[in-house]
Amino acid sequence: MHELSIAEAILDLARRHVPHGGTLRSVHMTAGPMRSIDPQCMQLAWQGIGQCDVALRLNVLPWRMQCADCGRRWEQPELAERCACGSPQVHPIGGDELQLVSIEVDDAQEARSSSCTCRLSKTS
Amino acid sequence: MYVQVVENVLKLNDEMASLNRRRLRQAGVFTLDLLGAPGCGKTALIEATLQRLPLSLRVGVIVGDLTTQRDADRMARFTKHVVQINTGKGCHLEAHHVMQAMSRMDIEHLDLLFIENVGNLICPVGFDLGQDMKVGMFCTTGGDDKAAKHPYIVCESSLLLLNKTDLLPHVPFNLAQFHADIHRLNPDVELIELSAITSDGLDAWIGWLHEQRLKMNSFQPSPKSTRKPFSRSLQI
Repeated sequence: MHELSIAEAILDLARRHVPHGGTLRSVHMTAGPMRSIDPQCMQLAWQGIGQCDVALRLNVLPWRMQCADCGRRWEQPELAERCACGSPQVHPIGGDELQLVSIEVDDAQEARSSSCTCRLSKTS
Repeated sequence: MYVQVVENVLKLNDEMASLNRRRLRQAGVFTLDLLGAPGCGKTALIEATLQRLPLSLRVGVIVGDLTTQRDADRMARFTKHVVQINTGKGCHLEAHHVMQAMSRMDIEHLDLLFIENVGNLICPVGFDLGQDMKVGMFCTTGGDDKAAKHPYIVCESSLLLLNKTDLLPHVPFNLAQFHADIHRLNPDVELIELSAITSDGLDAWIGWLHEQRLKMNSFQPSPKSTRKPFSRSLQI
């Protein structure tokens, strides 16, 4: 359940970018497939640290593969074990990305007029 | 209001890991993060290694478990430089755990430090602790498909170990498939097969340790590098 640690790290990082008096409304993160982040676990972890009012948008990147024999590069949702050329010499490129891309913030005035509701975003 | 950030989520952990790494390198301590599933033999390997290393080599061990002091008690039979970290619910060590453990050790008088991570093939891989290298461990009783199913540890490790080779005649384990999966995921990584119990293959492991420490000791930083050379040369 490394998602809990990652959720705490995202919240800590996001809060550093919230202007004084602003209220965090959503965070957008990307994760490479190497990170093995389960979107449902991530949402549970996010709620678990009390962020029901802040939407979490998670973009899990596809595997980027390269064939050592024919040199082809491609992307696909699952880790490939064979290239279209038939070679089993395929290896992943990168995949360990873990970034907070952006946040959405209500400024102080907007925050006063908005009500707190528990919002859960669908994972991508 | 939309605010673009684009920052590494684990920035804080990585900053703490950099502080750990700087301190360890300044002290000339070669540090390995040993990763593997529960029961794969991480503790047994460190015990066997400690018994084989010369007494002149000062070896420290930081060991992470959810609970109990049992691993620390096992290691304490071979070195006095042992710190047990209990993570409670945490499935992996983070840089702050290691920083706290280092504060309880005489780091400046160590030559080699093993960090035995919490038993887990997934979570610990993505967290930098300040180590020089990550060593990933599999075992024959875990099945030959574990490398294929856990690509991150295969790709991030500087060395992979296959433990419990003494049990190969008794368990279904396709060694050729295991090798092929590793080569497919990470063609550059070295694999050492060993048995921490019978000591088969331990010479290769000890030799690798010796070789890597020598490389680290002789490392000369490039002008742009922030890495620092070891302060002294040490022999296993």
